[in-house]
Amino acid sequence: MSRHSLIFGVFCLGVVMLSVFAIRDGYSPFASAGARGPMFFGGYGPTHK
Amino acid sequence: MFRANCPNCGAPIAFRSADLPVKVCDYCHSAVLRTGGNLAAMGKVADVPDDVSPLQLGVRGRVGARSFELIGRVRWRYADGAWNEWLAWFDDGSTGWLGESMGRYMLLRQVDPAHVVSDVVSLLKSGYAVMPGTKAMIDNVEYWASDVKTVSCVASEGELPFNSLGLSAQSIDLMSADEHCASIQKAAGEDVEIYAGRYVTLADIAATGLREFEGWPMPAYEA
Amino acid sequence: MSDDTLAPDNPAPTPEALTAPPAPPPSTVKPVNCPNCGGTVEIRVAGTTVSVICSHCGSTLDATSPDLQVIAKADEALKTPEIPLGTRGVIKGRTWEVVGYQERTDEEVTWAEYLLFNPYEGYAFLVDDGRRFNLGLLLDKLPTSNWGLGLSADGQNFSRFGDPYPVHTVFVVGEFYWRAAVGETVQETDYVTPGTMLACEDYQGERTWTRLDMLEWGEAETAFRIAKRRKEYSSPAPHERSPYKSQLFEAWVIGVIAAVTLFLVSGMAGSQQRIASTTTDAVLDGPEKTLVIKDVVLPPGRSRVEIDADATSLDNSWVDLDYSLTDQKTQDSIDSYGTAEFYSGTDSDGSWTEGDRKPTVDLSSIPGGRYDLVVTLSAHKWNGAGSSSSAPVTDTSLMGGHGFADGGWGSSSGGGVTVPVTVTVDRGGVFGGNIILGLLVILIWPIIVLFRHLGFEKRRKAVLSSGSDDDDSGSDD
Repeated sequence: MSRHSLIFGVFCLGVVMLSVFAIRDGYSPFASAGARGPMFFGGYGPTHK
Repeated sequence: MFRANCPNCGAPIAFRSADLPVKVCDYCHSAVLRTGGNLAAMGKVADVPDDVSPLQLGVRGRVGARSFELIGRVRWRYADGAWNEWLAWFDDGSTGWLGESMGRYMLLRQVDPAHVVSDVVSLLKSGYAVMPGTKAMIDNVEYWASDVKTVSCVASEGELPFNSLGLSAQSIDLMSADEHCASIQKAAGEDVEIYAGRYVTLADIAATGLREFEGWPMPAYEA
Repeated sequence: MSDDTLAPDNPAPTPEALTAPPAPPPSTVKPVNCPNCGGTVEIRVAGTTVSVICSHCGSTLDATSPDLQVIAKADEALKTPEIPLGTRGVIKGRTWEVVGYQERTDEEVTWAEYLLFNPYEGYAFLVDDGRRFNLGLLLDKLPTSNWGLGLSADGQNFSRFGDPYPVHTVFVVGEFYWRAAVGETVQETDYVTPGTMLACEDYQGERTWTRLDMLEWGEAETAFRIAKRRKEYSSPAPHERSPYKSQLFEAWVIGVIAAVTLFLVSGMAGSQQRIASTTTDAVLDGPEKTLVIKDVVLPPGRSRVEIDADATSLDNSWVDLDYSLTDQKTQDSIDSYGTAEFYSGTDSDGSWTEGDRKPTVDLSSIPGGRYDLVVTLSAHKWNGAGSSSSAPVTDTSLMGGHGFADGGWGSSSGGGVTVPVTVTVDRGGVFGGNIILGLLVILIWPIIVLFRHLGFEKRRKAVLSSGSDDDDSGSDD
């Protein structure tokens, strides 16, 4: 297993972890509305009317 | 073993077989010919030059189940080089030749001319030139001539089946598609002799008793 | 040699002679004097060496003549090999001594060949193309033909690389077992398999086959104590293995596993669930209509929400929909909009259609709670040039000619035509865009490695114009 492949494996793990978080929260940067930015840890939510 | 004294210098001299009538005296380097119980000194043969061959008289080797010992050597010279031929004495009293040339070894046994189908033999007999590429069939293996040279014997030692003094011959090397190799020779006044065998490495023949050289790790060929 | 060095007049060894220490093993190196320049020349393979080129004056001396007759004088400047003559090194468990050095060229590239010697192994060649080193050994057996696909030797299959090409010797120093000389020209054909090259040389009717195995980076440099070459792959040898191949395999395996995991994880998100649905009528070119879907309940946590509108009877008309998902308690709203539209007509190319009658809007990360979805609809008729209206007409009395200065997009009386619109709200499901983004991100590295590997193979296979790349050995008689 080359060094590059090891780093890539960790990277893929990260991608999958991120997608688990996104799925759990129903999150997508492509949605029409709702939370669309990288706001995992901050508050996010609806705009005020 | 027939023991006697060298007719030239009086040193002890031994012959192990009637098939090997010539022995180069270890002390005075005269070629001694034995006929029956009589010994005759044939003249001094040149010393073998100091070379870097790992082989020496007394080296033992093995081909399959049969072992042999190197008991004689002839050095042949041609225009662009020289090589050694070592006489291999097998346990059953038969002999073969271990040719040593350019760092490669060939183990050859004499072949009965009846097993040979080739123009090379007749060409040599009649004194015509043999061209490289001429085919030969020896014991059902196909060969072709790769090298044609005039050679002369420049040095010898140990026990030999012939008197090598001043010997000169036409020597033809033959190769085959696999590791078989052959040699066909005709010396002036002698019959055409055909030898065939194959390329071997020192490991293949499990050589023991090789010469040691300073700074060179000695290989241990067993099994 | 053997123990035949006793004096003739003292054949029986005396006890003193027997206890004398044995003579040390002789050295393989024999120093002699060059008859041309007087310098010391070391003969390392006495008895087999045929020509030795003095390293001081470059004269070629005949090693088969007792007085080292000068065969030729040097007519070019002497070069010093990178690995000095006489250097001993261990490669793959065997000790080799450098006894000769040649430089050869194929008229495009010049490379170096060292003649190596071991008294028990014979000769070998060390071929240096400036980047990599190869260890060459003469074949004992001829290669066999491999069903027209190339050659087989020693259990490997080789395919021909390029056409036969001439190779000239341009520099020699040291000793050789053939009459090596500057100007010696052979015809060479190369056959390759990853890691090994079979070099076939024809010289004056004699053919020699050499098998060259590429050594690892640094293997020869460490053995013979010279500077290590830097790893680079700008011009690979014809038989060089791609350093990217195993990396490629690993990258794709990891990538595929990651992609499959991504799909599985998405699958576990569960499927979409309908949580509300209402149908209403929109009047074409009529006043704006507001529809409230009450009590849209989202579970605790955060959810994906999808709002679909279905207006399948649209033709040459559209409905603007404004959605406002309002939290019942806080009155905070999440706003979005969609457009249901459909247009058709004929022109010189035939009939055409355009538009989406079922627009979808998806919302990300909506917090749990009770919401009202306020939908504002506004339907319009389109009267573009060349259009033929085929919308269902419910009140023909209102059809009539009216001027349309704005090309059909302005509001005007559509004649009271109504279009049913169904609005549905779903919760959950997956964002297709996320999955595609994830896949692309995962595939970046495997694709990079693939291009690196393909680039390497392309450079490796490039045959230089006058023949193939370097690497071979010389041996003649």
